[in-house]
Amino acid sequence: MNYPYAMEDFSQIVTNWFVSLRNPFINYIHKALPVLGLDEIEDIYSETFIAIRKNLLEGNVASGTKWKAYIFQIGYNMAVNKAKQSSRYVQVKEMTSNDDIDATDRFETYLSLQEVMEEEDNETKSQRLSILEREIKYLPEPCETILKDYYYGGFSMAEIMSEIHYQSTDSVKSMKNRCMNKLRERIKLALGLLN
Amino acid sequence: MNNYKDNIDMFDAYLNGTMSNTDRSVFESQLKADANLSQEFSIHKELIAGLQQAGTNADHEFENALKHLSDQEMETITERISIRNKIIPQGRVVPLRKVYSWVAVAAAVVMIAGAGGYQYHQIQTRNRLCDAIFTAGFNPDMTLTRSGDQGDSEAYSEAINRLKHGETVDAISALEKLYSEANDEMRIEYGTSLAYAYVKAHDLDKAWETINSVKSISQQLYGETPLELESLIQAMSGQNLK
Repeated sequence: MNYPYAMEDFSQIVTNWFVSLRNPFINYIHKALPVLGLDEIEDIYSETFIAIRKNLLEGNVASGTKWKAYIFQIGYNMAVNKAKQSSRYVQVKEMTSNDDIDATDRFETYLSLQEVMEEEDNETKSQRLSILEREIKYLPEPCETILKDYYYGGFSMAEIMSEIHYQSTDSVKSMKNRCMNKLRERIKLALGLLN
Repeated sequence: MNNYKDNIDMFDAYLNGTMSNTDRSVFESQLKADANLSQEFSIHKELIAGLQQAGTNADHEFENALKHLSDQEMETITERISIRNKIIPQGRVVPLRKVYSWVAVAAAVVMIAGAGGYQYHQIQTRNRLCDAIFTAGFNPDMTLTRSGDQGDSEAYSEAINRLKHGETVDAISALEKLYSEANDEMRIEYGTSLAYAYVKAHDLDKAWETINSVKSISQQLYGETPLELESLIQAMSGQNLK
C-alpha cells in the first residue's frame, strides 16, 4: 500500500505526538502517583512509547484505538507497577469525579456523523468538516486539549484537570464551555453565518 | 433568545444519557417547540462531530506513522526528546528518600554558595515554568489569523513573527508601541500577545500588569475575559507564578 508520506514525515508525526503529550502525561501520572519522581515518570513515558509501538506491530492494538487515551492507560499501568516494585505504592488516587459517570464511550452511543448531517450531501459534509478541523487547530490552548479529550478521547474532567494543571474540575468545565462557545463563534464566522 | 454557552451542560447531559427520564422528556419537548434551541443543539452536535473527526484523523495518522518507524528511529525520538530541559511542577511531593539526598545537596550548596544558591535555583525553576507556559499557550497561527480577520497592521504580524522566532526583546518593543497607540478593542489583542511576550522574557511583574489591564478593558467592553488571556491566567496561577 502506498502512503502519501515520506519516512521523515512519519518520524516528525511521532515526534510531534511525543513532544506534545509529554507534559500532560507527566502531570497526569504525577497527580495519580506522587511517590514517583519526575525522572522516573520521564523514563516511564519513553518506555510507554516503545511499548505501544511493540503492541501495534504485534497486532495487539484494537482497530479504532484512541491513541492518547491508550498511551495514558499503558503509561499509568507501568507507573503503578514501578511504584509497587519499589515498595512506594500506597494508594492510587482515582481520577474520577461525580460528574463523569462513564467517560469511556461518552457521546458515541448517541452521536454519529451520519446522524448529525444525514440531510446533507457528501460534498457539503466534507467541506463543513474540513472547516471545523481547521478552526479546531486555531483554538488557543488549552481549548484543543480540553475539547478533544472530553468529546473524543473519553477523558474525565478530573483527568483533564491533572493533565493541564488546573485547580478544580469546575474550572475545567467552565473553560470547556467557553472553548465550545469560542469554537461555535469561529465556525459561524467561517461559514458566514455571523455578521 | 437562547444563550448557547448556558445550554452546553444540558446538551451534553442529553447526549451522554445522564439526564433523568423526566428532564429528557422536557428537553425533547423544548426542542420541538423552540426553533432557536433546536438550531443551537444541531450546531453543538456538529461541533462534536468535528472534534471526533479531527481526533480520528489524528489517530489514523499517528498509527500509520508509528507502524512505519524503524526501531532505531523510535529510539532516537524517545532518547533525543527526553534529555531536553525538564519541567518541575509546582507543589511536587518528594519521596522521603529523595528528601534526604536533597538535604545533603542543599547543605553543600549552602556551604559553597550561601543563600544565593537557593535563590538562583528558584529563579531557574520559575524561568523554566515561564518557558513552558509560553510554549504551551502561545499560538502564533491563531494570533495572526485573528489579526488578519480584523485587518491589522503589518507591524503586528512582524512583531508576532519575531516573538515566534525568539527575538523577544524586539517583539516586546514593537508590541508595547502597538499596545500604547491602539484603541481599546485592539488593545485586547495586542495586550494578550504582549503579556505572553513578557512571560517569554520571564518578566512576571509586567506580564501581570498587562494581564490586569487587558482584563479590565475586556470586562468593560464585552463583560468577559478573552479566552487566550484566561488560559494564560489559569496557567500562571496554577503554577503560582505571581
